[in-house]
Formats: sequence, C-alpha cells, structure tokens
Amino acid sequence: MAQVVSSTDIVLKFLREVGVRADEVVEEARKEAENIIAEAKARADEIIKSSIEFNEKEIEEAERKKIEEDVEKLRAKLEKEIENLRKIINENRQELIDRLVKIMLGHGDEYE
Amino acid sequence: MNMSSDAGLILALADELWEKAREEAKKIIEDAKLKASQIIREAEKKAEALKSEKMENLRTKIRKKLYREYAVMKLELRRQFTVEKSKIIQSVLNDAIEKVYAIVEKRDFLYVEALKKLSVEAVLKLYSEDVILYCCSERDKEILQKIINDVIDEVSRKGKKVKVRVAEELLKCKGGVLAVSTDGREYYNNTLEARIKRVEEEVLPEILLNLTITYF
Repeated sequence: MAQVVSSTDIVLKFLREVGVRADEVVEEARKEAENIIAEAKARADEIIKSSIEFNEKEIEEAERKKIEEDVEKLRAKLEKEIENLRKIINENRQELIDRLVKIMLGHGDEYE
Repeated sequence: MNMSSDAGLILALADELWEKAREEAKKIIEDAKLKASQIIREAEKKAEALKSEKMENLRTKIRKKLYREYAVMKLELRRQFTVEKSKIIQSVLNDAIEKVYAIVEKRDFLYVEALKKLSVEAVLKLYSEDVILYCCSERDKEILQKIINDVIDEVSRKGKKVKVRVAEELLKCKGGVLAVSTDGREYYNNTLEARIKRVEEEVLPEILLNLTITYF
C-alpha cells in the first residue's frame, strides 16, 4: 500500500540531507586539517633530524686547514726571526766580537 | 500555505546551513595551515639551536684532537728554532772566547790591564774590607803581585779603603780572579769562565735584543 508523503516530510528530508552533507564537508575539512598538521609534524621532524646530521670529515678538514695555517704562520715567523738574527750578526760580527772580548776582559761596556 | 514562498524559505535555510558549513570548513583548514606554519617555524628554530650546539661540540672535539696532533709539530718547530738560534749566537761567542784566550795566552799589557780591572771590580763587589784574590796560574799570580798596589789605589779612588792580598793557592781556570773576603763569608767570581758565562746568559742576549730593536 502506497505511503502518503506530505510536503513537510519532503522539506524535512531535504533539510536533513543538506545537514548531513554540510557535516560531511566539515568532517572532510577536519580530516584535511589533520593531514596538514601531520605533514607539518613530519616535515618538522625531518628539519630537526637533518640539522644534526653533519659531515664530520668536512668539518675536520676545515679545522685542520685552519691549524695548518697557524703552524705555517709560526714557521714563517720563526724563520724570519732566524733570518733577522743572522743578518744582524753577519753585519755586525766583528764589532760584536770585539765588544764581547772587551766585556769578558773587564774593559767595560754600557752593559757592565 | 503558500507553496512558492515556503520553497524560497527552505532554500534560503538550506543555503545558510550550507554556507555555515563551508565557512567552518574553511576556518578549520586555515587554522590547520597556521598551526602547520607554526610547527615548521618552531622546528626550524629548534633545528638552528641544535645545529649550533652540535656543531660547536663537534668542532671542540675535532680541535682537541687536532691540537694534540699539531702541538708536537709546533714544539718541534720551536725546538729547531732554538737550536738554530743557539748555533748562530754560539758561533759569535766562540769567536770572542777564542780571541780572549789568545790575549790571555800572550799575557801582554792588554791582559795585565784586564787582570787589574777584573780585580778592582771583584774587590768593589764585596762589602768586606779585607780581601784575598785567587788567580788561575803562577804567571797571573806574578802579574797580580806586581800590580796589587795599583788595584788597591784604584779601589781607594772609587771610595773604598781595603786590604788586599794575593792567595798562594791557585784556581783551576784560564784567567781572571776570584775575590773572597778573609772571613770567607762572601766572594765574587770574576774569572774568565764566570765572565764568559755572564756574557752568554745576560749580556749577549741584551745586546742582540737592542740590535734587533734598532734594525727592525
């Protein structure tokens, strides 16, 4: 036996369907939002993980280079000092020897 | 009931329902995007801090390791430098010592004068007014005995009245004198060996330093 459907029923059904669909849209948005947050968290983990990964060898090489430069500077400085000392002594050798002889023999010097 | 106006009302109601749902959905997405940006920003900040900290720790660890390795190298460089410097200085000093010993060997007026000055200086260094001078050889003893009055006069001119005598005993040295107070409480070593040592340790480094300052 055919059921008699009133216009009110039709309206209520229509509105219920619209309501259901509206809830679905909100629910979809919530799921998308969850995905967005989850992706962001995954990306954040990646960022943190990649920040503590270093190429140790590369850093060691850079530091080694710096220290080697220091050693080279020291070598150059000491070589220069020796070169200067040699120059001073060569250019004043006789004068220096005579002066030392005088001092050793008690003949006086400004250093006495 | 007016069918057409009712239908319009129902559609308007449905539209409003629909619009509210869309707005809510939009807000949910926007909030999520904002929150996501915040999560990323915080992660970047945290990553930067972690990176700096880890990098610094790593650098410190590496530097410690490398410094140990290179400290030996630097020490060796400095050792070589000291050896080389000492060789250069020693060569001048050796030439001077050779010349001094040649003068001592001749025992000519230059050495006689030296012996006198070394004696005067040694006596003046002591507080005692009664001094014994020790020599290094019989020849020096003879020379000193001849010039002892000159030594006393010179000391006296410098303001000190003193009794000086030459010891019979000899020292094992090349030249110069050792002055000892009669009571044995004080002495001044003015032998050539002692003077050479003083020149090597005090005078020559100072002369070289002054020359270096003048030169460079």
